[in-house]
Amino acid sequence: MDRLHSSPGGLYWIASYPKSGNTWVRLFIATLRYGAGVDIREMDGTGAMASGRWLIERHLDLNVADLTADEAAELRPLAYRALVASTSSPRFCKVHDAWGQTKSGSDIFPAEVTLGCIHVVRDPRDVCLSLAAHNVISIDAAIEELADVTAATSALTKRQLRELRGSWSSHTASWEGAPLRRLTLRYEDLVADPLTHFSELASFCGFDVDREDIVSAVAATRFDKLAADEALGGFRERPDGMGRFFREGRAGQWCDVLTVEQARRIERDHQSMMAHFGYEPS
Amino acid sequence: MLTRPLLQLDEQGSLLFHVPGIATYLLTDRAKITLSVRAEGGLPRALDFLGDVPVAALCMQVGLIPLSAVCLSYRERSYLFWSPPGTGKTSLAMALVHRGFRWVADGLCALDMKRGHPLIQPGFPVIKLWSDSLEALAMSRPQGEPGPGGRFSVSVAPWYDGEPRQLAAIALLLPARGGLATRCQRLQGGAAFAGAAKLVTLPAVARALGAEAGFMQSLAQVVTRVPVLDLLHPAGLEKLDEAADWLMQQILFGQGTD
Repeated sequence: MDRLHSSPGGLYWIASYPKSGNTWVRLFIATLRYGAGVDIREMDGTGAMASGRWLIERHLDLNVADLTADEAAELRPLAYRALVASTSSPRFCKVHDAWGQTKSGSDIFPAEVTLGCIHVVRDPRDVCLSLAAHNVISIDAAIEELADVTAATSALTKRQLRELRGSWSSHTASWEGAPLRRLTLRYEDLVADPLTHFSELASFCGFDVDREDIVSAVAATRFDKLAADEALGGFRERPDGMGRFFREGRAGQWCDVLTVEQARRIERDHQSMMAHFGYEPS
Repeated sequence: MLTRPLLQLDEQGSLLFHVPGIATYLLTDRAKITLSVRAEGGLPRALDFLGDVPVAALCMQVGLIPLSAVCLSYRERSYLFWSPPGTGKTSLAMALVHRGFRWVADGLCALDMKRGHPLIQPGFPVIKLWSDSLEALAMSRPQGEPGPGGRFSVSVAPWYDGEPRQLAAIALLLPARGGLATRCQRLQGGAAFAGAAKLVTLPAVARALGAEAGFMQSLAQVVTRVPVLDLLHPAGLEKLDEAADWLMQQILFGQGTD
């Protein structure tokens, strides 16, 4: 059963800076859409990642491993158009790139094949803790990465094309300014009142569901349940060396962990965008 | 007749494949590939893509089924290995070669059913590996620079098996990342067919050429004769030897194989 059966074909971009709740939102959508609990052991983000080689290559009939990063980037809009041409139902793609254009000036995420963008934003002071754990780096190194307007993944990543992310502020601003139909969700609001905000998401995407369906999907993707599932059977998207993917999921952890200097550095680096999203300085 | 982002197929069966900035490849008369090299790319870059779509389409037009996989042989029987791109199948296959397997084909494998049983035709004796894979395999870097994507071309001539080999098993590989347990299970019925169908490259071209139904019938025959194994193997280059030992055990002696 597909609870989006009446929607047209097209793409929803689930866009976020890394470690901002993208996987959680994706799990909620999959659960709500198909009406069953998702087995996270079987979940494989490879085919759902906008920068994933698998997704790009299947639609281009081309091995992109022999291209430069810029050459491969130019082909991304073509791949997304071909993906949409091949399906009559909506597809959800996880995106950690900033919204932007290729060197030749094409939008990487073409508006004409986009049904909408679900932009998930999280307090950068919490993002840095999660990013440090995910990348197995120090908190100070994560703070530097959040501030780096040129931040990108390696051009030689084997499973993905290069992602141009930029800083937390420039990344966040890029999606807020993208010429796409958009729903912006704050991670903190999803944690505090999941029913209200996941209902907004369901409405934005046109899900044919009632309140009980949303209650069930929220319950099936509660953070503590996902963490317990991961502890029991693992989670394929967890990188090597990382202890747990679903760590705490709590908003405001930074208050207990960051030093005053670290918190102030992040607040200085991202003052304007933090104020825009209501993240109060310490 | 068919238009895809980088290829067009016309009513006469001529296929034009275009890699922007590098080359165009025109396949005509079911026999001839004409290469037009863009000056900035040069012939070496154009040749990087010749063995994929152009040769795959040519296979289709002469009745071979092009599969996206690595093929090795062991004691004159062949084994197909499939995984999503970038998940280490070529490195793992090379580690198996160091354990006595021989190299049949990489990337594009031509399945030949003309003699009534599944044979894999040999491919080109060259593979591509990233430098960390070479290091994990204790192989020296070839002379010269890597390609634009960072991979080195490596000759597998010392281990090349240039004979068509009867297919013994199809292995669908995924690394057991993130704490997942290793697993080997033999797929049955529709799951085995769906697993094998993942390997067919250019399905849209096969459909447009009217070859898809025949390919699927052939695959249905294949999966009744050879096991299709779903494997979660030890992940990561640091566990390459462990993964190769485990995989060899599963495909040669495991419960799923005949």
